[in-house]
Amino acid sequence: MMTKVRYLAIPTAFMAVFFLGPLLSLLTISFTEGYPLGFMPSINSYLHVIFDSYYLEYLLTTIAYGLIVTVLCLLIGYPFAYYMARYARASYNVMLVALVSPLLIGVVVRTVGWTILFGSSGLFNQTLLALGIINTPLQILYTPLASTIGMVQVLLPFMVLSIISVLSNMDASVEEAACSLGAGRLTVFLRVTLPLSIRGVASGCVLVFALTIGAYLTPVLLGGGKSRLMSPLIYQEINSLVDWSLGAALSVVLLIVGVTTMAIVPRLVMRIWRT
Amino acid sequence: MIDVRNGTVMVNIPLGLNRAHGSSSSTKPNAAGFLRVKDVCRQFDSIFATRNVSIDIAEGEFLVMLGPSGSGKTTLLRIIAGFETATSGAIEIRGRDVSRDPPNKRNIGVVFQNLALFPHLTVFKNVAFGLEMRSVPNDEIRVRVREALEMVRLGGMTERLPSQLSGGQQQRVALARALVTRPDILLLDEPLSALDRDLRSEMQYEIRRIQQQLGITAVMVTHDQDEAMTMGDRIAILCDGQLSQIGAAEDIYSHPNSAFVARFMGAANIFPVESTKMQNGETSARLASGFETTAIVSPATAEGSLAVLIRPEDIAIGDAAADMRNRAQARVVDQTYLGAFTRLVVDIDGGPNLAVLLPSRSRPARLGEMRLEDRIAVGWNSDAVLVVPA
Amino acid sequence: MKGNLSKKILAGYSWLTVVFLVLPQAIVFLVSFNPSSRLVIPTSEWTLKWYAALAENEEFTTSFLISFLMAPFVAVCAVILGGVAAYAVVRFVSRPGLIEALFIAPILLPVTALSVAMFLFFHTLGMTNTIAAVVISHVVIAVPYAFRTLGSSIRGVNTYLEEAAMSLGASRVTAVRRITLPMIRPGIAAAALFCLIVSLDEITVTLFVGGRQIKTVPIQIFDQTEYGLSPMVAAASSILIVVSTLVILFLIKTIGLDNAYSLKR
Repeated sequence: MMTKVRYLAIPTAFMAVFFLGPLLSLLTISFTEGYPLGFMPSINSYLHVIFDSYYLEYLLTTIAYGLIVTVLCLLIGYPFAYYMARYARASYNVMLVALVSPLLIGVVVRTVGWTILFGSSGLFNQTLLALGIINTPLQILYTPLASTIGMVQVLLPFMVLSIISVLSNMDASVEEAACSLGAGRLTVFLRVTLPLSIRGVASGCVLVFALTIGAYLTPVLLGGGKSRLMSPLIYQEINSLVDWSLGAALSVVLLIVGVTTMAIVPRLVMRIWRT
Repeated sequence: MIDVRNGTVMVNIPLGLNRAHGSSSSTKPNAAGFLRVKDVCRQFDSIFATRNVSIDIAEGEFLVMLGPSGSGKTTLLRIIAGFETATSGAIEIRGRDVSRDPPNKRNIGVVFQNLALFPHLTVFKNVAFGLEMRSVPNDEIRVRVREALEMVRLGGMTERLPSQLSGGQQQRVALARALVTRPDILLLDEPLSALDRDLRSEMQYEIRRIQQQLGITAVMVTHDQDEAMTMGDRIAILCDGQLSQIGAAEDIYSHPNSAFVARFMGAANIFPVESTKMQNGETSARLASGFETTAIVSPATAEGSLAVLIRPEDIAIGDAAADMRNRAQARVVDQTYLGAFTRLVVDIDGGPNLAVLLPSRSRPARLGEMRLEDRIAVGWNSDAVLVVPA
Repeated sequence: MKGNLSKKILAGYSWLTVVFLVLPQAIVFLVSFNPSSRLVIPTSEWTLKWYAALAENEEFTTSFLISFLMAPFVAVCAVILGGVAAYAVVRFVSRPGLIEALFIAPILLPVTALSVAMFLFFHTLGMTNTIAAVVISHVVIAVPYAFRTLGSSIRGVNTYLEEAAMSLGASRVTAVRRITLPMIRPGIAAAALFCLIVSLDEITVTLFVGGRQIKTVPIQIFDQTEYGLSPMVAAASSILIVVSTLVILFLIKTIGLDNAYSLKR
């Protein structure tokens, strides 16, 4: 057995050094003060993050932002996933390409696209101006709206793919059976389809939430500098203010929020739904 | 008691498939211990998949391991092959302990349950694989692959992919692939379970023919009692990871050492015994219903609960019953024509229901006119009744 | 009739969603062919002049060189590391939970946190702003994709086949090389392309670890947008779009993307 496990040695060593190593540095530095100028063990950064209402606001805003994006992805994504899983035949692959394209096309490129579209002299405003619907260009770029749209576009696929995978494993005859027993469409959906797809919904939501709170570039580039989110704040701390200890502590908090969501929420959802 | 076939039936085969060691008698190990399974245990957590199994297999012998699913027969085969390691015990091939050797060092040939033909390689490449691993020169590979494919009657299909062959043809390729390397031992893991009945009996015959032609030692796993009896020189019956009984098919059928073996070998009339007693040099067994019959006690019988086994084909009816040691009146409750045989179920007065198997041709004249609910005489001798551990 | 109508509405809605999903990419792509220097979608006249301008632009050509040299290297490393790990986990590890988490986690953690962690780690080693640090961090991020894709390919190769090869005298390594590898070739190609794209598009970690000194294409585009967008930036972006789209099409053909990209367990 041991001889077989040695196959794992090199990849595991690589990941241990270059993935766990960074996480360890992050954790260590978050417990110092004034790094990199000094290296004093301290929990001051955490005290700041937890008790300073300034930072707390950032944390809460980030979580709210994550929830909003998650809910939007769910509302927009579920019907789409349902259509793809149940009805799309020839169009399935076309839709799949569209679905995956935001994932495989980098954030910068997509941001460039949204900027072209939403800029004050962008296509969107020009069209509206030309049609006489508005007189002055709408300010969309560098608002929370733009960053939310950008996030939903890139994270929607995760939600849709999660839901599709449970829906397509679900036997459609279960729904037909409910129908044959006299249930209306809405009842069938609420009483049969939705409960049976809850696992996919839960994992999709968790993924979208965790990825939203950790995202950096989309909120910064589309939302502008004024958004009170953790990621831009962390970048600021690291890049300009030279208080890496605080930046590290903020990152650890972000990490903890993300990881606990992923670890706990799906189990919680399943437990509540079963009882 | 053991029918050992030690390779002397071998004829001179011009195929060059004779195993290389066949002639070098000086290194020839003890024929009876060509493959030794020594006290092998395999534990998964606290569960024994195989428990203290010891089997000696002679050179050229065809041993069939028979048992229900979960009896540990496949685990044992995989331990012999080296895919799994025994928790304790040892495997010896030709007197050498191979327990720690990986499969590729054991010189075995394996036919897998799902055949495991390499789907991306042609028939030729599949069969040649083992020879390439042994660095056999290309010219010789060509010759030996052709011979092996001819042996399994599959010449001329060398360039096909496995997916382009029928089930039976795939079976033959798997057999050729396992034999072309001249392994010491051929291991077969339920190789025929995917085939339909006709093809199955054809392949049973083929495998047996080739095994005897080559004089190769073979171990096969199956859960099919007929297959085991058709193919094996000896049959090893496994139950719950333990070896229940080993011997020639006839031995096991007529002298099962437990109710489990008897039932697995197709016996119909098995009843729990309440008590036995000796009287006038005869053993008499009393069933739970109070019914008594004289019987022979199996040597395997010890303390504990017992059962009697009454062979359906040893029971006589009508006039023929008159001479029998045990006689009773009974009522016919079922009659089934099975072709060569006719099967009756009779309800003995004050006793159990008995299955009776009679040759259809030589049946008593009255049998033809027999109706359900008719009353008849039945009888059997002591040697038709065996007392075994339950 | 009622069922039919609601199905049509659902279909219409789904196609709207499709438009939303591809909108920014499509706009960038179209704008890159427009003849004026304004960011509009060309109507009558289409031109490749921005691509020509791109080829003349030394900053961009350097960036493309860096990216297109680095990405294949990252892909090869990630496929080897992720593939070997996936093989060992699939074949030998009976309770893979923890070890699997190690190879999947990099893409599930908040990107910002991971970037800061990488930055601090490489800073301690004095390696920030080096190409080595960027390559290593790209490999860490790409390994999960290789691990996942190859894991499912390897699971598709029946253990019996390797056992058959071993019973015929092949060692474990030979069995894998002769039987398993040829059978999972599409999976390997898919995994490699996945990793290629990941490296090609990566920006957040690169930004932190490379500190804008290692100018991969995304970083270059990012820099250029600070001076305002131009059709040339759109052209550079379009090249990435085309590469990614080709990869998507290939992946759909070979392994079925819905399985490959799903990040669930």
